[in-house]
Amino acid sequence: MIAETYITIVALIVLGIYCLVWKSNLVKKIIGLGIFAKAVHLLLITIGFRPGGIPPIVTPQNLQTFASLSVDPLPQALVLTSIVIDLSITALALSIAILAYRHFRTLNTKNIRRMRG
Amino acid sequence: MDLITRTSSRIVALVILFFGIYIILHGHLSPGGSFPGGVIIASALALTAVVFGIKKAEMFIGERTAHIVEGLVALALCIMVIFEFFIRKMLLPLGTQFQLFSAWEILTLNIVGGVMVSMALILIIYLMIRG
Amino acid sequence: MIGYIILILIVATFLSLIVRRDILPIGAIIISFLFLVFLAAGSGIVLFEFGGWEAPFGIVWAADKLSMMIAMLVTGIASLVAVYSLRYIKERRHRYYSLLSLMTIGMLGVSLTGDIFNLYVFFEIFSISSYALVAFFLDDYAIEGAFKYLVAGSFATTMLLLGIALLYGSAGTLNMADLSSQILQTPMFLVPLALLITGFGLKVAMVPFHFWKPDAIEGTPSPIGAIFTAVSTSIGIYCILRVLFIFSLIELNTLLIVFGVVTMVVGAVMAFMQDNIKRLLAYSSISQIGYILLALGLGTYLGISGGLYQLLNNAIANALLFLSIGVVILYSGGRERLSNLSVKNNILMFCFGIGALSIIGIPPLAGFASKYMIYLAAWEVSPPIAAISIIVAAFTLAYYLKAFSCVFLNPRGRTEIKGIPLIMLIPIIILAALCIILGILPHLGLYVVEPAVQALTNSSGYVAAVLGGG
Repeated sequence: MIAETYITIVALIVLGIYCLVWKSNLVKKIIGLGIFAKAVHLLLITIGFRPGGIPPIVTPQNLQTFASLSVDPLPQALVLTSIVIDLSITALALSIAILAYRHFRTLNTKNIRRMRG
Repeated sequence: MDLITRTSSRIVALVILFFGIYIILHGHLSPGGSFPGGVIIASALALTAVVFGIKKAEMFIGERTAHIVEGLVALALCIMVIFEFFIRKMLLPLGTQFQLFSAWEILTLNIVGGVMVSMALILIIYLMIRG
Repeated sequence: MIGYIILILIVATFLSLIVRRDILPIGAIIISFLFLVFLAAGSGIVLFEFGGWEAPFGIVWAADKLSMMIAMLVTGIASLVAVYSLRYIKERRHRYYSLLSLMTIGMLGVSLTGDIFNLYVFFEIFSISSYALVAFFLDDYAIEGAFKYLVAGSFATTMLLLGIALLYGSAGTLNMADLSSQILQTPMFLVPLALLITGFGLKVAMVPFHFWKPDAIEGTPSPIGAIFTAVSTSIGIYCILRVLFIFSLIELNTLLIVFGVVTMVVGAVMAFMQDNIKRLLAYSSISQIGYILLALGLGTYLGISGGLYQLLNNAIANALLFLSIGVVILYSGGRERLSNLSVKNNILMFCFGIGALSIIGIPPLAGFASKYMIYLAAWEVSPPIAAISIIVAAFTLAYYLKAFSCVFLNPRGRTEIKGIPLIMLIPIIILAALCIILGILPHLGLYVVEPAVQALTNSSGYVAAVLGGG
């Protein structure tokens, strides 16, 4: 189960970087960025996972056994933070893409002057 | 938009709104909290804006109002953080399961944060629709 | 104590969005600068534990002398730029100032934090506000540069997150001091470190990753160009140093030397071919980063102190160049081509000349001392590298001569600049005076740099101070 997840993560990272670097449409580049970031989030969650673990919610009943049973809650907090950051980057990127469309009348980087990076 | 979308989204938007409020209010007891709840509330408004047009959405909350509310709420969050962590120096309490009003500090932080997130997202939605 | 600085800045940012008073963010940045100077006068490492949680469990801010130096540099240059921008930015000024102070928050947080995920978060705050600032003018160049910078920058920060995730997976902690005590020198740790260095290197714009920088700087307002070339590269170099030294990976030094030499040469050659003054300055700053990386890679005490001193001088001189060229561009109606940009103003000519000479490293000015230290250190390690760096300095002289003569000495189509507002002149004159003073009395600069070098080389002291609690 865990091995498949890691394979998925590697595939997603490769896909994201491919989409980011070789596609020439601005929106596709943004999608590639999103895929890359989501793959890293999945990696973080998988690092904290433990087979058969309980959700990291502390209740009076499981206070004693919590540390030995639950999955690691820290990566989940990190991923939440990172999702918020990712959201703001995507929003900014999309609004810049909208502006670029309005200025250059195209979303293709090959037609936008000198924009080939 | 056609009749089916309009009729169904009239109901669905309300359901989404209440679900967002539920997520925010139960942030200290179950997964969720201010950010997911705020996003869900904002998505209810996004549905309204897409289906009924941006004019209708602005009847609920205008762009100027969202600006001011967001700034005020962010300030309130700063003041609460100063109060909690710098002056009282206390750790956040643990909630009791299945009891809504059990951890006041987290509940208020969640509500303030949820309002802030939803206002910010509503602003983003308005800006993007207007272009 | 240091947690309050960020709080002041955050409150000022949000308040300025509501009440639209420019004085709030400017005042907050200046206050934080004064506060940091006051803190840096004390001794030892300043610790701040968020929420009262102790070191390996909670988020801890730990400021040693190196962090203090970088933080003072950030807030100092940012306050000069903030004062200068009062007359430079004409419209949507409250947005500009809230973005500027957000950027300062991000850079300050990066330089002061002791937790690697917190570093990532502040790095993102700094990056996002800088993307928005690049796009601030909303013209063709700005949008193009902003999108390029956004794609490159968020690729870099996602790389950082990947590296941090792998580090957490193998060491199980995020505190930098704790990480360095847990770390084992196995090849497994090299993968996340390579990712981290790639990410920071993209932000620093060392040569294989430099493509975004000239475009981004071409589109920005000139004061933000000053922040980009002077401060944000310093932040990236600080992060590379922190990562390398906290993991005591001195073996990677050869890599830094190679990157440094390549960056130096390519930056200088590309700068020579530019026609646009802002692009020329951008490539020149890339070339100067090569010097810093080379000096830090040499690894000797002389090399590291030369590198950090060069960082300081480079920041001051680059800020000076961009601020004075900003006035020139503003008063000649937005022209940036070297072929048709020609002005007449003695003060600006003098200040630009001082900045250029200081970057080249001509004796009575600030850049000379640090460059001389770098040459000496390079000569000890390998003479050919020293020879290359001196040749690159000659190149620097050549392209600055070209820029200077085109902008200030060209008699054709000259516009005379009169009545520059005092509020723009004061930051320029302060920076020029710093260049001259540090050139005549170089030990004043070493007074700041020496403790930073000691803090950097003494990483076990840092670990003990952070984990022992403050």
